[in-house]
Amino acid sequence: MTTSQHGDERAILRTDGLTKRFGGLTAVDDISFRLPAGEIRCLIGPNGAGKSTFLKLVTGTHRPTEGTVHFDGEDITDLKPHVRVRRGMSLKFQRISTYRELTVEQNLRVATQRIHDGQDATRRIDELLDLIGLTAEREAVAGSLAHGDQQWLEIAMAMATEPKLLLLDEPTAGMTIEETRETGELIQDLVREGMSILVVEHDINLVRQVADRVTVLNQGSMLMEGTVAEVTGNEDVKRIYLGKQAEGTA
Amino acid sequence: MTDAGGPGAIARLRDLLEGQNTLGNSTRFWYGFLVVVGFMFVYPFLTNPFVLKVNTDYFVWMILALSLAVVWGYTGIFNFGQTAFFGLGAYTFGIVGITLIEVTGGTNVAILAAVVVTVLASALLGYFMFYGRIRGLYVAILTLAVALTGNLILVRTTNTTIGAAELGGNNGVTGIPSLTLGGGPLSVPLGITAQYYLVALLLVATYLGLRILLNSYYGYVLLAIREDEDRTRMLGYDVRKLKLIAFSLTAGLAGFAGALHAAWGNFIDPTVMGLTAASVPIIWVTVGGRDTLIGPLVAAYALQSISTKLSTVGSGYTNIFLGAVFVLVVLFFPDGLIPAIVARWRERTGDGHDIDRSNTTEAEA
Amino acid sequence: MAVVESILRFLVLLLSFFGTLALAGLGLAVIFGIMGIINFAHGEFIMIGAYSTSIAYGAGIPLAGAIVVGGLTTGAFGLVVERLLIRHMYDRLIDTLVATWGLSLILTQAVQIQFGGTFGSIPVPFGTFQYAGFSASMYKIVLGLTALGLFAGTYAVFTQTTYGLQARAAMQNKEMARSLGVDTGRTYMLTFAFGSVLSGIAGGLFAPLTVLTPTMGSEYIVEAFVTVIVGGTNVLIGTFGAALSLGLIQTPASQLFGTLGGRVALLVTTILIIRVLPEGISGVVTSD
Repeated sequence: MTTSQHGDERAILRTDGLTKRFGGLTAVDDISFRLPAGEIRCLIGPNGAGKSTFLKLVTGTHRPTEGTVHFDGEDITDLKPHVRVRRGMSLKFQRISTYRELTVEQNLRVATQRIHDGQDATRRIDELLDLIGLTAEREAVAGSLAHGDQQWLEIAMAMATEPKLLLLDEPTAGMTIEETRETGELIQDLVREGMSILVVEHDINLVRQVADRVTVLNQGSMLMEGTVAEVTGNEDVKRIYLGKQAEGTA
Repeated sequence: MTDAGGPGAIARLRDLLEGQNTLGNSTRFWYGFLVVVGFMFVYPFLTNPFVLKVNTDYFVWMILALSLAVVWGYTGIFNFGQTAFFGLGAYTFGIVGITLIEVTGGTNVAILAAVVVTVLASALLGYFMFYGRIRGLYVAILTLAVALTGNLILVRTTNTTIGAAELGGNNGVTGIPSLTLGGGPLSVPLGITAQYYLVALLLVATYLGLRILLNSYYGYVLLAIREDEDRTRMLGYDVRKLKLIAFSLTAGLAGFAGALHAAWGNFIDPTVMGLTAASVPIIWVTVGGRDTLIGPLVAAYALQSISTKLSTVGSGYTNIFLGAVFVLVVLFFPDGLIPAIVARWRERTGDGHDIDRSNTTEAEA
Repeated sequence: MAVVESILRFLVLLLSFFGTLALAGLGLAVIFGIMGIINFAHGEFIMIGAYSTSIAYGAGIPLAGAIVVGGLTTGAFGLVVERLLIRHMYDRLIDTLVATWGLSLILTQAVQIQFGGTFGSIPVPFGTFQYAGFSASMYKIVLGLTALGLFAGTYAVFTQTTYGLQARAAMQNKEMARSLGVDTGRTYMLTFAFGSVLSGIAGGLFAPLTVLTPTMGSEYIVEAFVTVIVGGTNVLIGTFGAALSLGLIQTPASQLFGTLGGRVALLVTTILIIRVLPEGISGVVTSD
């Protein structure tokens, strides 16, 4: 109902009746979701709400028990993860998963070389390094970087594949308030360049800063969708957050 | 842009050969390299045929070491049964060589057959492993189980003939033809010195070829797969397929080395697939350093020389020596002896722009 | 009667293959399941068990007692190896593999130097089992039953002792176990020793059936490996299921194609199974 006003726009990502059951547990329950192109959407919900599983169904790491996933107008339900990436979807993992033993440049080269080769790749790497402010650390081993810098490097790697849709799983985990704000600005810049972004996020400040709209999951189902103000004013949302995380952060 | 001049060509060649994925990118390294290759070239004039013959085999082992360095060290696939493919290549060469030498007059077909058979066999095994998504340690014990079962099968081949070749069980296959050059009726069997030059040339070519590969697109992909498969998949790479390709092509290289070994000794027996044989290449790569090429090369040459010396002394202590080297290096130099030495040397001289991936923690300890 | 005979023949053979696979694999599986480590010197641990059993038997101790001596000797040896070698590499799985492989070379050669090519054999006890035209070595039946007994014993250790509870906790979640006050270092040490005892007992049980040589470990290592691959990380259910299902393959294969055929069938089955069950039988048990 809440999405009807976007009905005419092109959806970059759409799921219909998406369901994932593990044995007796239904982790994702009949989620029909739509992300219009050019939007920043935040996906929130208490722990165990099914956010990570939902993301894994979108990236293809998990196969759905029922339902379909459409990306850029095409049914990708049966495509393997790496093929989805090639179609223009990119994921920044929740845990830091840069190549810890490789240098910053090696990390970025792995990410860029599939699209650019030779001098082009080097130029693109320079751009990315400049963007995330790690030019001086080019030859440093990724594992030796500060936590926030590793998060930045990851985001840069996800961007390097030049996605239409960027999936960010808790991109600011472990960042300082200042770094979180900068990340928010980066996310906004990316959308201006034409990307669509889906962010799984706990930090309500970041949600306020970047989200066009917010989708709330609870116990595997979609609870509601709306603007930040609508969501934070909603009684059900307050109840699940306050009920489940009495000493909660948000 | 028509630089016919030498410097331009050399610069372009170095561009291909060098990069942060391999050790040895300085001009000094290449001078050293040329000196070593030059010495390999003049060596036949300085020594006797016996020593030359022994060294030819060391070069063959060094090719095997390179194949394991790429698949284990660079790609992170714990192929602990690389000798199964070395042995398969050797037996295939023996069988095809003995059968066809009278017909074709040469060994070209046999060499080709050895490589094709090992690539196919390893691809079949690799398909089940990588598309079954089994985890690291399982790959190690499964590949070793394959080698040991191969040994078991070969031991029971007394009175078995394939083509014109008698497999001979524990006694092995005898009368395997030496390498020939040229084709058809023009094939010429190679003498000791010619064989030495050919194998030396193949070794240098393999080393340079692998350096180009490792500093190219595929080199970065292999490293990425070693570090984190999930991450690499989410950057758009078909990890299972790439692992399968890396596994089978390096197995093919091992099979090629096996063929050279069979041709060198005119003989092959089941011990190549035994437990001790399987551990030997692992020692070279462990001691030499898993993420270098030059390390396993040096280690293979050095450890084979020492083993030969120890066994000619007549003691049964070779395996104790190898085992002790194994254990001590893993305990005290987990990144390998050669990288540790290089790091120490750089610390002293404050030299070099190579990437020190070990991050110096172990080297300093 | 011929039908009964061939059924008996099948069952006895199955029991003996099951026993061999389970005994060869159990010690390796305990260490792998709890610690995540593969002991590449596992075959040599079996060899040490067989040799020390033979020595004890030669000194006049009855076979059952000699096998216990074999198990304890191997356990003590395992303890030393764990202290000197393994504990330095808990977080480096591949290094433990490589280091234990080095150990395997040393052990084989050291035994060769010390005791020569072959060693005092033990006569097969219990005579034969007779039914109509069918006869089989009673000891092979006992071997299978003893394997079942060892499973029961291992189950008891993991469920009834403090060590067992702590080991299971450490296996499921190392950090959590630590925060609950489990000394995981000590648990791992005991696990390695316990696995070694099981390998030593296996060696003692195998001793009457084989020629004792320094390289006898490699006779059992493939069986141990495939059992662990097919079984996965669940020590008891996985190993039991793997030994049983692989035994069910090996039995007809060896009846049709001989001993070698049976062993090749083991490997081929394992390779086929991993395509479907990457985590082995444990994956099936734990997935829901």
